[in-house]
Amino acid sequence: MNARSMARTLAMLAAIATWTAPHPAAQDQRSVFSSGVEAVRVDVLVTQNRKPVPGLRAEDFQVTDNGVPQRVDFVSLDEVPINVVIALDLSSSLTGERMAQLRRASASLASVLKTDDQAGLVTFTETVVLSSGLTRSLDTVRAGVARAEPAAGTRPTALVDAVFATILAAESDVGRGLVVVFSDGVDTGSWLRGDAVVEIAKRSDAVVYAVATKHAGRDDFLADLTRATGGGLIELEATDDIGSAFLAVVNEFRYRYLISYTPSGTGRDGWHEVSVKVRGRDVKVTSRPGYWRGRDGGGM
Amino acid sequence: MRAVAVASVCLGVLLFSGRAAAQTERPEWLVRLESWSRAVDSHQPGARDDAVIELAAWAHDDVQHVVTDYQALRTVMRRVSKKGPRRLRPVFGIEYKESRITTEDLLHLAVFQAEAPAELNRTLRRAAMLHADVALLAALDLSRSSGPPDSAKVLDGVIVGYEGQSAHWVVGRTLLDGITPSPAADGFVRLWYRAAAAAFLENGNLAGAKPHLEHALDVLPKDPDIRYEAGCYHQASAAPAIAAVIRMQAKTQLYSGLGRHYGLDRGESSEHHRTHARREFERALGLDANHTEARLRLGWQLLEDNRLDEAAGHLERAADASADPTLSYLSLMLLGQATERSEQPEVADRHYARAANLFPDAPSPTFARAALARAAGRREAAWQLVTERAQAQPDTMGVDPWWTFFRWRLRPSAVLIEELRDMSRADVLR
Repeated sequence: MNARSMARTLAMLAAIATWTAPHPAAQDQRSVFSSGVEAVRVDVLVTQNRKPVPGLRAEDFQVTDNGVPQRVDFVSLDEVPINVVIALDLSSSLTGERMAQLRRASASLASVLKTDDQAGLVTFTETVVLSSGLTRSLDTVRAGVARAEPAAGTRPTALVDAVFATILAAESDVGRGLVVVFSDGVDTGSWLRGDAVVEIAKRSDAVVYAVATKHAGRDDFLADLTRATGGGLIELEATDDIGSAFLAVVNEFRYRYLISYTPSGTGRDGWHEVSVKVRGRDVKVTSRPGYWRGRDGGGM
Repeated sequence: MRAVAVASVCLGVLLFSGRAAAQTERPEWLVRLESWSRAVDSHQPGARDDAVIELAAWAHDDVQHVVTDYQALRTVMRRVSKKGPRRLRPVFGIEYKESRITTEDLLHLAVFQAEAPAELNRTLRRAAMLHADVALLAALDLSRSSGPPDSAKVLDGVIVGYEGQSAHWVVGRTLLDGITPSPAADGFVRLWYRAAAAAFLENGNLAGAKPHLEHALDVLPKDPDIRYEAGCYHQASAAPAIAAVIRMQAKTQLYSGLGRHYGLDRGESSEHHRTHARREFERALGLDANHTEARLRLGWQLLEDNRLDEAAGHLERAADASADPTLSYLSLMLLGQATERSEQPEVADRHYARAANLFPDAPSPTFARAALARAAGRREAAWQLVTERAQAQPDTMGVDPWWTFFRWRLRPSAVLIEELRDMSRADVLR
């Protein structure tokens, strides 16, 4: 993306950003570029046989908001920079070969991120540590992953608190927020309740993916969270390469469409259910199920 | 000391002294009983002494059998004291003859028991102290005296193995049942049950806590501390992380077809535990309205049951009543949650801020306040709060009482056990 197209994209992003309190950068931009229009943006993944479908245009999408058909104003694929923030569970989930795989994958981040993309890193046991806020310097994130060591002994896991912090990090700058959580998914130390953070995630524009080892006892938090944000829960067998799974998530995110529309005839504040389909194609569409509009919303 | 010496004589020396030559002929049960008697007599409460080391090496069945033998002996003694030694022969039969216990010995013991019930109570208490010390001080050496591996061992929410429960707590309970005229009237018994329950729960040993508390409630139904610990057991069993383990066990059993009972009951749902937790805390408060810990935990339970106003009432009282910073902190945090969920975010924020003043390095108040801000659409404020907290180095971060909520108690098990040992030492000197 050249500088002009980047500026155009940011301007569009700012203009369409969010119903309520936008993040600081977007707020600044909007004061310059505001069109006075309140738009909604939705991250959409379109796949066929598990492969992303490129080349779709605005007229290909069929969007309803609270059941009312909407006109899609804008579709972007791989034009808006992404903010990928990794949340690493260091309580006991990532040890030995798993951690080595993740380190190798973080070293390959540069191959899947573009110049304007940013990355960040949150690590957690019972404490949540912002190892790196959003930065274009991937070395910082790489070094953070390299330094991360699984905690010794039995430690509680503050998964829900960490996910909350990671979502805030992902939406702390303008761009498309992508959160990738690596955890076994059993919370034993958070103050925040899972359902409360899922509600907050619905008010965020970040898309959350979770990569977890298959085991029977996980509660519904990660599944609910990824569903609510239009992301996905990837369950690995013990021998699967976690690093490859991570890079696959980032790659897949690149193929997500960012579509926006200006709601019309959809009612006022509260939860808005959004449905996205592709006209005339036998494809799978994954997107968040809705958004909050009003005082408590945070934009999409 | 004389009483102890006499008790020792009762159980060991008197029965078996002067029969060294016949020792090899003695039945196994008698030798075991003699060793046990010596250990009870010699053990110093709280010391990892020879008595502890010896009993720790005993097999599970031996630990259980020695107490069964001891109880049988006591029953026999009671008959002796009532009907005379000649009536013993049908009871003791061959074992009695083989052991070469004389009728005079038994008569002597019976007379002792009849005349000095307090001495026997003292022996029972000392024995219960010894078995508690074996369980507490030799925990790593207890594989032989543990039962079959039927309890899930969980690390960070994941089952990492199975283990059996120590026989020493079981025999301790059995011994204390023999206290006359009533175990419930004995201060040592009350403290023994309470300290052991606290130790089980602090160690997260719910499988061990369950039978202990069931027995404790039978013996001490009107003890507010036992009711409180029973409530804590149910509360911990209903906690999300434990519920996850129970789900795991259920699936493991389903897949393996073993149908084994893994200590945490499959049949007891979270709902069951929540209901019982609430009832036990209410009973504890009914017995002692000043039981602030019970009030705190009842508040949490009501919060879990979405009874927000009732929860807030109890938590407010707990926060006001407590001089302990941890108890106040937990009360304020939960009060914050109750008011937050009652859609009073400003009030909730004030409670969280007060909690933060008590433990400035604890992260939970920060996350609570940040989530309040984010839910209200104040993204920047939320992010600022979290970055201030999460940018600290892990080793400089403070301890948060919330992390140990299910194990924390105002008077930790270590303190209670030390009190129990003091009581046992004083009992010996009396």
